[in-house]
Amino acid sequence: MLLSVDSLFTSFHLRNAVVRAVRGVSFDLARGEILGIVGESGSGKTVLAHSLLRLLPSPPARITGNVRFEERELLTGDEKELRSIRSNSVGMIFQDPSASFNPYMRLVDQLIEPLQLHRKMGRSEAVAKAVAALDETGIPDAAKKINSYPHEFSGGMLQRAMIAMTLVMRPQLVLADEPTTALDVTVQAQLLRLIRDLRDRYGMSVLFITHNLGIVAGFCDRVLVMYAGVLLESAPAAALFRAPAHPYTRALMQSVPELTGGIDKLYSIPGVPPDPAAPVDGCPFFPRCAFGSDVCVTTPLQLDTIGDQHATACIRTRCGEITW
Amino acid sequence: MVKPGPPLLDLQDITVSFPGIRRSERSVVLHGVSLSLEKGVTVGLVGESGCGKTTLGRAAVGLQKIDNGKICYDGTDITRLQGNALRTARRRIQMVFQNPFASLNPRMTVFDAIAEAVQAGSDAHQRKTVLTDRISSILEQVGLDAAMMRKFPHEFSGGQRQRIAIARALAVNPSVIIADEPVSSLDVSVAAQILNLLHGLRERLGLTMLFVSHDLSVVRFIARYIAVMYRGRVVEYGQAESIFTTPRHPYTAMLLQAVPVISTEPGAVPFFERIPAGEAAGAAAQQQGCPFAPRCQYKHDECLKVEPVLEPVRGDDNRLCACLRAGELRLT
Repeated sequence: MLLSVDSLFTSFHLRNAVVRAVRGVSFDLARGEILGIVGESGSGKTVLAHSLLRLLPSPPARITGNVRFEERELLTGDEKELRSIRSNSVGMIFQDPSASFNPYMRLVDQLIEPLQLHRKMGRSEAVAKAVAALDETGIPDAAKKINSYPHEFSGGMLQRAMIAMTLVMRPQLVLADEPTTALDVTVQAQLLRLIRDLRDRYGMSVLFITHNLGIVAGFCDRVLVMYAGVLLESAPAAALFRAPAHPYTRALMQSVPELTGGIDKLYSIPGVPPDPAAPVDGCPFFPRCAFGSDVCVTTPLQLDTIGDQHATACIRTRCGEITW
Repeated sequence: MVKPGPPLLDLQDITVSFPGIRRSERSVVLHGVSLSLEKGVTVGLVGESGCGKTTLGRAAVGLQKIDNGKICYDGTDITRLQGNALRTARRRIQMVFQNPFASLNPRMTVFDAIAEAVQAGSDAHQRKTVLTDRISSILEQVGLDAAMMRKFPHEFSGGQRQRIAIARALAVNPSVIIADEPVSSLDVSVAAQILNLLHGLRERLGLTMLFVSHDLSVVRFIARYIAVMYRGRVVEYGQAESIFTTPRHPYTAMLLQAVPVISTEPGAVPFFERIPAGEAAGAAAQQQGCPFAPRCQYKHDECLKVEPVLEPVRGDDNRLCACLRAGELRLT
């Protein structure tokens, strides 16, 4: 395993409330695997990704649990070692590429910075590497374009440059947080293909955070479904969509309009997600679930295996009380 | 094109340009776009960012000055109206914006926000008790509790705010709603609620709607007709169902293929491998010929010389398409 996360808890201790954003998440990420984390806004998926690398200001954030990356403990390791892991072994791609670049600096200076800083390369060698990385992401005429400022690039081009920036370091793990949400569908398709090709070529692992079920279905190898700070289901992508084993997963799938049309009313999940500052007994989805019963409240939540790599936190599904 | 009766809203040959980088240049964002909306029908307007779909919507409600063209509401060109006549006509066409966090004034309660619209929509001053009744009934129409009218926008979730924005648009009893990406900033399950609401309101109030979106599956659900825009032009227009099954324009086909859809078929080609790799070629403005030609895998030499016009497709009377090869291509 490249990455092992075990009972990760992240909470924010504010003046008059404790917001529990991640409430006990465990998962493994294999080398070369694309693992999707799907959830609605506020489900804790971004906080989870940031917690892995201790990227949250503490206080107010408090992170507990174990995060092992290549047999090294990230949550308790010293800051210096963590810095070296963040810079050398992990790359991050964020949602809004235009916010991730400094508008006053040419792309070239932003792309070579990590190489000069962490690989102690000279300028010309670093520039050559950066041009090669841009080239690899499909930017035409990279040697010339690298001297551009960020505003001269379109959103899709800038996201390619962002990917190039993480690639120059040849990371083993890429954390991609909604990297295509701000882009058009055609550009999105091209970028996903690029990430997939790079994974195939270099065997890097990708943790792909998204709210888009369609992307998860076609792009990820395995999927974690996150809700209110916990994982409700974990399965290979194909199995998840063929046989969802949690009422929440199913409800999410039903609320997506389909291209084939022909329906008069979309399904929508009743109620609202729980307040992250309020304590939860049992399953956090219970108040909105059409299949809830007393056991859902009295039994502590646990993600348990029901089949080949397929696990669900729904106790009623595990007991065979719910069938679809 | 089969079109019973005159359209309620008829956009004719709309041209809009913005000042360019140099003072002598203007960049044209709408190149003579025509689109008509029959009464009670929803038309979906799709296209990538920068294609001009939002500008067209803004032009229809009068938020964007047009260089050329006509905007006819019920047979009257409202671009020629002035004063009271213009104000009355404008009330008939209302807009719902994309971002409900930006479209509501944070210092106004829901009551104030909707009351402002109600007052603007009536010629006489309304008494407060009358206003309260009216606002309660509007809020009820959009699925909100009347007690919520004393609250401020920050006390609401994104979905609830979008309901308030819709309530505000409905306050003047419009007959046309221009909805500009109304669910793009919402989560799927919340988006589903808002789509159901718009769908229901359309049925109940007989609204005519122009639904602007980049999300094809959303448009598929809500719209009866679809107009596909590319670089400031409508390149395809027709019934939603048939456009999705048999697109005639290569750009429409490309858009459809790129949509991430949930497919459980084993061995199906993933959506992101169905379209050509590489950045959209010809991102620079191309002066001659078909604007889509640089990205088109079906282009002929002629496509680079002749600009196609939007015209009925041979053998398909219900479809308009701006492609020289529309009649011969078989796209799926």
